[in-house]
Amino acid sequence: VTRSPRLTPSGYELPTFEPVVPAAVNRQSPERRTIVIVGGGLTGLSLAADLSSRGVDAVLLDDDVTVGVRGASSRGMVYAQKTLEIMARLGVYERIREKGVTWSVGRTLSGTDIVYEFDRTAETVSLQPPFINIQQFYVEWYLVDRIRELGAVQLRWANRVTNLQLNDDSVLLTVETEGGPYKLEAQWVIDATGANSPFRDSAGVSVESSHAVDHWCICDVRFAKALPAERWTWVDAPFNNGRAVWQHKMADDVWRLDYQLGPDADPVTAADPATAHDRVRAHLGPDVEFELVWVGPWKYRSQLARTFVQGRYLLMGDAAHVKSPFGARGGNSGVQDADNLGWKLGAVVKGIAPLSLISSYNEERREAAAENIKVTEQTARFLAPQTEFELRLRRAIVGLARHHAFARSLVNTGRLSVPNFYASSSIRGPRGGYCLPNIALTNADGRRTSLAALAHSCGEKPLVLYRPQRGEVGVPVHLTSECAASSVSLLRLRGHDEQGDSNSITDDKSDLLRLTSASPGEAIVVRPDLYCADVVSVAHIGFALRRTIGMAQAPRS
Amino acid sequence: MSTLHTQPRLEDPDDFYFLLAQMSADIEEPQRLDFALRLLLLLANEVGRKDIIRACMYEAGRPFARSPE
Repeated sequence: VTRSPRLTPSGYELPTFEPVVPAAVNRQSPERRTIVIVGGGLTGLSLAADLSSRGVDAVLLDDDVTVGVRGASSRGMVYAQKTLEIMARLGVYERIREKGVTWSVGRTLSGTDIVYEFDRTAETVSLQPPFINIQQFYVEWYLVDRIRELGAVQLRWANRVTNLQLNDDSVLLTVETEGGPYKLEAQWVIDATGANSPFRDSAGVSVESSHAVDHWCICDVRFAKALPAERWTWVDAPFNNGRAVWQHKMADDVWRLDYQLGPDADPVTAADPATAHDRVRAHLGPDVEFELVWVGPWKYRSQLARTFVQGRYLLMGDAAHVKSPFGARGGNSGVQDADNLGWKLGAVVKGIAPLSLISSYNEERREAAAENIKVTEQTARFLAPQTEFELRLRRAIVGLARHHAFARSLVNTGRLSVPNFYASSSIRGPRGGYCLPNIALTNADGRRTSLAALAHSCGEKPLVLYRPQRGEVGVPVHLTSECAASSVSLLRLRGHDEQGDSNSITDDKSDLLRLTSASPGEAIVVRPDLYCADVVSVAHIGFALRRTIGMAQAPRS
Repeated sequence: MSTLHTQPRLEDPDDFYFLLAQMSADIEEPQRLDFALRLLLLLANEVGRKDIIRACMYEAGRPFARSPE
């Protein structure tokens, strides 16, 4: 047993990129751009890849020359199905799948007993798995490669924004580079600079925040012991003084071990390599050789920007919302911000949709962020009882959970990220607002396709899927003409035994019909981000299409 | 609060009280709270409905609620 713990933050060789000195440096007049993304983390890069895939001209500014936070910092590591579906559309899913650890089973333990477990495989209808674990910088790295391949978005490394000035219909940035400063005037600036955004204040966006007392310490550890590639969480681990522990495998045989610390813990001492080493030793037992890859303390924190849309200044990812990592709702919701904003920005700059479509980004994603914060705060409360009563209540739940399914539902060691419902959206109809999974579909010629592939082929416009009446041939003329008038793709959903023309598609397992409850004679309106905008009768299709791209007010009541 | 039943619904109130008293008396003091909590959780699951359980919580907490400053 080695007594000389070795911290190896350089265990990873991260790519570095050439600093960029744009032509505008030291020029008098500002460079003019349509869209500027500030911050090349997971969220900023996801949006850059999305816009690039739409052929939308944009620039991404990052103050660093690499991915990750200056070294092999552990940030996100669980990527949920919706993120994986988005990454599939952006063209980086295969690399994530090859490098990462695909999993679907989670177990929760109290002491040495399993009190709750789930397997998401059975309930999934997506072409992507429920979860893949991978270090965040790998995802960022793959996105960088993809953005360069697509070409429409320029990545400017070592470009640090030092000032942001919000004008009526533009934003003026001052940018520092190795070759000197320059001015950049953009129609839209997206702040993806993370939790400590230096620009929110100058843009006049305030933040509601809350802090709690609970401290944790992440130890990313490389070892060869054959443990199952499952999510294991302990409510009260015997090897961590009866406190919570997380155990989860990532790429390269590195495990994310996360330890709840005592209420009086000193975060500096907790992250000391010798202390971390002892903690991991107690967890893994005396015979396992291991190597500490990264150690870092963290504590509960939540933040929510008052608005995500301030004129032409937009916020996304951690700059807009911060929550505790329970349930992997940080990175995954940041990617969904990008997914939500990408098609809307694309539609607005291409003249397909009015400016007002952007306000639906605020409605939908701010609501999602508030929900995610609420969910993580509930988990945090379960994991850190505040009174003796709460501790006893939790013990009663765990005791009942050993024998009764209902009590297992109360054991809360994190509710894993799922796409949120957009109740307050002004661009959804009464039967829309929820996300559809990436369902497998079959083209008329027998080729396999998917809902994500179809949506991608529609660019920034919705896709209409019509469920015919029994025995009905073709599609109603009104539907065809309304879709043609809006240049929207229309496909006819066909039964297994039915002949179809080239504009028909088969919903092999009837997943689409089951999830949308579309009746014969109704049309499903699917957004580019796979949200169902509404399910309507043929007569109402025109209004539904206009509303989806922000061209109609809320329906008359 | 309108959803809350405060009229008698228990099938046998005297039996309810007697059994609860007797069972709790048979349990050692440090575990009596644990018994009450297990019972609370089982009954809550029987009720199921969020609005009714919330109304019961507020009614139970009424004497202890802090008055606004």
